[in-house]
Amino acid sequence: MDKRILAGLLVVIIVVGIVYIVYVGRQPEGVEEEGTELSVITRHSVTIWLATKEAFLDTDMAREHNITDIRFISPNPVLWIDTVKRVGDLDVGWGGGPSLFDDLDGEGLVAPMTDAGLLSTIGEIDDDIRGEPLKRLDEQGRPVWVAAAISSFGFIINYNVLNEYNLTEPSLWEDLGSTALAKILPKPAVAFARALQSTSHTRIYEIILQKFGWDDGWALLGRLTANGRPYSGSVEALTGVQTGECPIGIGIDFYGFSTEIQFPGTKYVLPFNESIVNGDPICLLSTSQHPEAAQAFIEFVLSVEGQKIWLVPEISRMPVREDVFRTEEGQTRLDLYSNYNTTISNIGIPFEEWRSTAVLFSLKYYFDAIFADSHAELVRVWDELVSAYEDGLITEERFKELAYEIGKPLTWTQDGESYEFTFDYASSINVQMKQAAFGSEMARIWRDAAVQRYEALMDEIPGS
Amino acid sequence: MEKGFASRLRGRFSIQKLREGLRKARWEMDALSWTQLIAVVGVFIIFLIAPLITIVGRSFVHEGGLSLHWFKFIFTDDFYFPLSLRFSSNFPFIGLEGVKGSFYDMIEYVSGAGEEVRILYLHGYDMGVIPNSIFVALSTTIFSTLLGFLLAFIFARYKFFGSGILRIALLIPLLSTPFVGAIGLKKMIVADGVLNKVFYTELGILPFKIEISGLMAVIFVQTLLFYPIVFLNAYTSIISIDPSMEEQAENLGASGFKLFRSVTLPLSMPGIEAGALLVFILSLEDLGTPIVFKGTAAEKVLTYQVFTRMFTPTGYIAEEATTLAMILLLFSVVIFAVVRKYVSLKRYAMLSKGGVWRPRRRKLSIPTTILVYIFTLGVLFFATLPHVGVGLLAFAKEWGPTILPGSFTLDNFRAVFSDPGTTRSIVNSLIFSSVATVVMVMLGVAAAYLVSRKKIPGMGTLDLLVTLPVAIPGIVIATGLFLLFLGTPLSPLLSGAPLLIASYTIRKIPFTVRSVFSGLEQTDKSLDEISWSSGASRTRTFLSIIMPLILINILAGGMLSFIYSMSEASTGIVIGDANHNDAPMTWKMYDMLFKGLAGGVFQPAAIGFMLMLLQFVMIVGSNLLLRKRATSLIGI
Repeated sequence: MDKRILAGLLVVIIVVGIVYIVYVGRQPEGVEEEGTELSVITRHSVTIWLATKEAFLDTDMAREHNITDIRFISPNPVLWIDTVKRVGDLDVGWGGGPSLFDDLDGEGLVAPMTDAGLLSTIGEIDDDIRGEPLKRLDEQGRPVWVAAAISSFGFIINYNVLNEYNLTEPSLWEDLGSTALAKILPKPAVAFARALQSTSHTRIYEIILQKFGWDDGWALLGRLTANGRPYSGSVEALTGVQTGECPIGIGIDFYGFSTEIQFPGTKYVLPFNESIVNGDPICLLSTSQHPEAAQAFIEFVLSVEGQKIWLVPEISRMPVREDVFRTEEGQTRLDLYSNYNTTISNIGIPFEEWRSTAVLFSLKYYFDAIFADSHAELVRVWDELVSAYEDGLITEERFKELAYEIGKPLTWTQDGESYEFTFDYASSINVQMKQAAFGSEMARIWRDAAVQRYEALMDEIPGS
Repeated sequence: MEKGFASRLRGRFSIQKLREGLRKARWEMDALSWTQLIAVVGVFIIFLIAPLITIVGRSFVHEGGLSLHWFKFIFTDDFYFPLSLRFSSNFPFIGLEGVKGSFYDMIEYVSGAGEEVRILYLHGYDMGVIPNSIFVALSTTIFSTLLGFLLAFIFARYKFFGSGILRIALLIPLLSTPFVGAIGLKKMIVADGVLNKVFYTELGILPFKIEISGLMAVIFVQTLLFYPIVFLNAYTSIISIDPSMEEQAENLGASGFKLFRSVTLPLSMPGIEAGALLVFILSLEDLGTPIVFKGTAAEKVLTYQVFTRMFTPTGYIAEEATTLAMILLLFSVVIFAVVRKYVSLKRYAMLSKGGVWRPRRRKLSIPTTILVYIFTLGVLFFATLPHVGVGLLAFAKEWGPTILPGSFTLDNFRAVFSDPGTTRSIVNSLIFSSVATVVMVMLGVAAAYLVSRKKIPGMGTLDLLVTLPVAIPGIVIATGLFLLFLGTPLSPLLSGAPLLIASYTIRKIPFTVRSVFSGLEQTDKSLDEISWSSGASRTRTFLSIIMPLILINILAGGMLSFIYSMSEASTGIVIGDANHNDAPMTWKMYDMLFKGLAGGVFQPAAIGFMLMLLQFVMIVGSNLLLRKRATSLIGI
């Protein structure tokens, strides 16, 4: 045979072989042709996928619906809506916080749950926990998403670093904006994430704004971020605490619990009566090709058996059902049960979800523009102000006045008109902020206005 | 002037020249050559040119029409470009405004143990995103060049005990481990890091702790990562200098510094310049180091800003990000043009084949040898910190505030192999890199063969096309691919495989092309002619005569392309983030380090350690295969 043909054949065999391995050979073993494969879009970690998959596929429920495999996909949350639309046959959405699921619902990508068995299991779950909804219902009263786990928001402390710098231990949100943590500036004391890149940290900013009020809340956020360092996401902020880069980091509770287990000398702190409890939802997607099978999976996740997944030490999340702690496995996690009780007994703030949704996109861009993009300028003015106060160059009253000025909502002039970042203004532009170009334009305006304010305040500080 | 230009243009594109070109093409090109040409050009148009055009196009569109809006937006935004000149009547009459902050801060506190501690916190000035990028690239280039050339000169000109081993050890930074290398180094240079533990706490040499942060940290890490590129290039240039040139200069009375300044240095310049300009491009396009040091001014560089602003909260790709990518592309391509014009890569490849003569190497006295050792080991100490850091982290059970980890374990490797998510990402990387390598070899051999053998118009452009990816930042290619293919069957949301394979192929093909090209240049063209005159077709000549002769070069180039595909970070994390099932191991490392919860830094370090070993085997293997030709391949 001609060598050319041989060479050509060889190349074709190699390419076809590799393509086969990529697309066909990587199918998990044991997939029967007639079996159902469920597709789940999730923000949960691989540890949770595997534990759930193994437990669920071993149930009668899975066998009854001939479910032989579960495929998990986990794209960046900003791509969820696009992914659900484009992939076109995803069955279940799981984990990522209420806002993400409300967004999916808003796009018509969530289907109401109708299976009798599932509805019965959902009935065993409370409708709310300390006022926070654990279920979202459609106009006909059918559940569109249900919380599968609960979470609180607080901060994680690395005591090794805190003690090294001799810093005061914080217990409330306002402590994170105190002068006590400004001692080591420009080295940071508080790890926080950019709002555009973390839904859980955004929730913390929303809690602070609702707890302290719009103006005072922004002022506190100004001081808190001035004491800190911006990270690209909540896990990075957590890593900042674990590695000792920052002694404190704000975050969601299960990050704190898992850090406590992995890193001795760390502790999760729930700000007393200053936090909320959020449900972390699961839903049936409207693109599901196997709605019955998908609802069986959801039923398992919400059942006592399925809830045991959260008790695994590497996972350590709080189940939505308290009765799971009464099982044999639950009795081995009394530490988590103690956290659960602390969480549900902590009086939450009266959190209004509509206020959060009304300004979500404005808040994210605004926060990042004035506190993360302009962080160096922010730290400089706060550092100078604290030094001037501690050196006795300004009175306490003047210090408080200037400290408040740092973060209070910005005012600026645009096309000859004056604007202020009030709640109403943020709400009025919230939909427009979804457009990339508008978002970029506003972020720039706020960045400039913030830097101008920080520089103007520097001029008012004696000795700077 | 106008007339001159017009006539030059006519001269270049005259009908007669076109006819001549077509005639040559008919003679030179056969069916195989046409297939090769169409395949190479087709792939590059679809996966390089079209994505770049998408980025360029998007940067010029505003409110539905063509506009310079986004460029104006960026260059008038103090965040990106705050610098301005202020003229005054006072000396020196011109002042530069927009440079913010201080170069360093001294932090003083009393620790919990009652000890008064001072930290010299070095972070550098902040000049805005665009000037910062240029400043970092320029500083890294200057420091890498000084360090690289000095070492190259010592090792090329002096003989001393152990110089061979030391010379190879100096190339260790070429073993690149995305993210974990910089994290390993970061662990050394922070206030509670290993260096302060040794030099401040234990030895008491330092009067205060030193922490390097922000842009200074990026420059420090990049210098240690990139100096071997200048070192290799300069070393090759120096040993390729004809000894008779220097001997003649000495006969004419030149010696010492005068000989160095007037003969040695000018003759080494092509290698030094090529290395320095490549370092500039690599520094400009580096995303991994700014990611590791972010949260400080380190994130105020172009690559990081493109990366972080690419997606809006609703999943759109922001025009602001594509325009920043366009600016980054512009800087890189301009530098690349300079490389090609003044220190042609091809000419450099020819230089590397020199060394037929015995280079002038003097023996060093013992005291000087000791001094050289102190200097080289000092460099090596810092240069290998990331690798030592990765090695220690990979085997560490836990590593608290101590100089070395408290205890060692293999658990990190066990955890890597027992986690299906991690093993899948490793398998993904192996498969995607293998497929990409097959494609790269096919296209690379074709491109190199056409450029080397076909004397027809357009081959210079083809050469430019296949070498161009060297100059294009990974984040730019990733953004372009994402943008172009989002709504198509190749969408990264459906499967990451096609675009990852395409991006690896495009980004790493220059290694294969250069390797094969250098082999072809050393294969006498008369062999082709003899084969034709014996009745063999051009296709048969290519397959049965040329291919066997350049097989080693193909293998070596393929190995380098493969290993650099395995460690490709920027396209991996952007495309991998769209569909985690198909994400490569670099994305997994990124995810474990910055986004995931499990594993912390130890498991990514274990992956990084294995990657380093693989790189070591592949680089040594390709060097053994190519022997002296190898130096022209490494580092790009």
